[in-house]
Amino acid sequence: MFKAVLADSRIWRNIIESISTLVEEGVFIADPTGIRLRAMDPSRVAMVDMELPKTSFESYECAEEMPIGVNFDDMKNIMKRAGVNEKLELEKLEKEARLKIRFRGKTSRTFSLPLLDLGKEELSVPRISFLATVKLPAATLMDAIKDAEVVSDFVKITAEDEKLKVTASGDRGEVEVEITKDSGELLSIELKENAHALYSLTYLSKMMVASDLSDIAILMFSTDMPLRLDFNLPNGGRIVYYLAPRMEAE
Amino acid sequence: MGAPWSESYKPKTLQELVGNYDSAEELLKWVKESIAGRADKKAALVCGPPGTGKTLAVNLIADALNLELIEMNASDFRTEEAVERVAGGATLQGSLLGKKGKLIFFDELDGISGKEDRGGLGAIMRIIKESKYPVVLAANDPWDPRFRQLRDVCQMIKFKRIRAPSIVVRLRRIAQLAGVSVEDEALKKIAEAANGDMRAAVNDLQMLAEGKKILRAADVGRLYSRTQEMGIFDVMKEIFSANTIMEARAAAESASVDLEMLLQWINENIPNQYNDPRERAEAYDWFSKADIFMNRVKRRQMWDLISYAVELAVGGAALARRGPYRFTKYSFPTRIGILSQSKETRGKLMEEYMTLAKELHTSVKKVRTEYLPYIEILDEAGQRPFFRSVGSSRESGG
Repeated sequence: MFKAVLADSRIWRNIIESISTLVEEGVFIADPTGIRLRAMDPSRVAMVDMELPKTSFESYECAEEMPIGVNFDDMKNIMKRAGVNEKLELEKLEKEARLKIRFRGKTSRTFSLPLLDLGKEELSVPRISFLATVKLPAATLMDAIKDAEVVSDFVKITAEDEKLKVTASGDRGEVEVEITKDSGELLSIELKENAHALYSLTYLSKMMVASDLSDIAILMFSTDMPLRLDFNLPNGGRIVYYLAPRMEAE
Repeated sequence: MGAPWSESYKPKTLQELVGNYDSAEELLKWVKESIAGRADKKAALVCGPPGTGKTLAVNLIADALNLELIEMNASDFRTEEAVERVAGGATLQGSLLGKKGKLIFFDELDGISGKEDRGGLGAIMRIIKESKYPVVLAANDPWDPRFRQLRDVCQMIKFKRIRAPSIVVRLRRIAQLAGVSVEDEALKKIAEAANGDMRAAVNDLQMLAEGKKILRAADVGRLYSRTQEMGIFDVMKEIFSANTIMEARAAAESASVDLEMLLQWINENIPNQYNDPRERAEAYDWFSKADIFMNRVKRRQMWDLISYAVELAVGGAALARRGPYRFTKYSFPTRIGILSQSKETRGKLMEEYMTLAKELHTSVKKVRTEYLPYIEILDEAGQRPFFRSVGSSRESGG
């Protein structure tokens, strides 16, 4: 049996939203240490890797590993009903193919979500050594991405000389966003080498949904290699995204 | 019952594939050429009956070449948006997991339904044109009219039914792995009943043998034989070359298309088959009688009459022949294309009839049969104050 209580149901709501932008169906693995999920989007271009340790919960019970396969659209619709100041209880009995989702506030409301038997695809995260690691406020990154979206559907991210540059160009014009330490917006930057790569804005903006969960984003990438974007949750746990680079236009 | 044997005892490498080696080899060669940019065609269309290894071959080739397989099947590519999101996204980005490239695979193309999913097929065409990676499609019936455009841009690779002896070899191996001893005679029976469908054979074996130590021929009993469906071109040939009504009818029954479609094919191909006007006249005479029955069937739901329609149409088409059978290139019924092209125009006309019917307090049928001739005369005379709006949109509607 699995039973977990979160003090604030909106955390789970945001987690579900952050996953559901990329993935339609996926399997949470609950085990004695916490809950995790690793899934790729259907085009196999992006991956989300979420973990929420036992310590993030108000109470947590899980004797042995238990897969919980869900349809994220359905779960998202349930989580939209989460109210302010409501606790969240997740519960699954050994034999039942349903997850109980209970909101506890002024009233107690229990949804029962049918689970999917999805089988397990063992995914390993991309093994890449990143040349650039940049820490910045999530809102700043979000702005840069929104700026780029005005003119193009992909973006060039460059890290050099203690600076992060986000540039985009297309038929609709060009844009360059410079984020430096001086402005205080660049919290830290570690460079083993200068790096630059192209990424699709469609995917990046989907990933930025997770900025509701964390004020700070950690961006890691290398030249023409996949990108990694980390959001650390205040109460422990994290959401990590990986995104394949866009191929240079010929 | 545990996991399906057809999954758990699936071949893991191309060398283990049963039957259709040449086709798999051809596909492998095409994928390699496509990656090298030397392939003639932009995509490959793998076609053949179910259970002949199409999907499996594509999977194994992706493995062998270390390609990331981006797989979509009919339920995923119903809309343009879905195709764009998955395959479109995949074609523009590199690989996330460090694979050497990608293989875009649209499986079960037959499942796409003509009208609603047209957006999906259009998007697939676009992906084929724009993709930097090889694109492979799979379908049971490549001659489906919906795939005409696809056929033009695809290299066709045929997968044939797997011969019973090959199926026996594979079944014996699976039985061994599953720890069941099966009599040869039993294997043979299963293989023959499967009619070239490997997956069906493995499923039958599992159904009969799972949980047993020994499977004897007597246990197999009578397996429902999977009737062999013939492609429409073969059916046409069988019908037009038949010497008796019975032969022609048997051919009609093995067609994989529905009856109305079959009649359309006959209608289209009578003049292709017969040059002699007397032959044509006779075939069409019988066909028209069949048509009367078909109409009764549809109008009055008198389904008992359908067998008369079949026998008159195919029997007539066969027995009108006055000499030996002559090889003919059969063509797809043009009526369907014409109807779909004129659909918009017909819709517009119908709308106008309905407007007129309302204005004139009469039925649409009356408008068409009694008023329209006069409206046309008025139009020609340039005097159309009353019907100006209708008349002008009629012209633009064709």
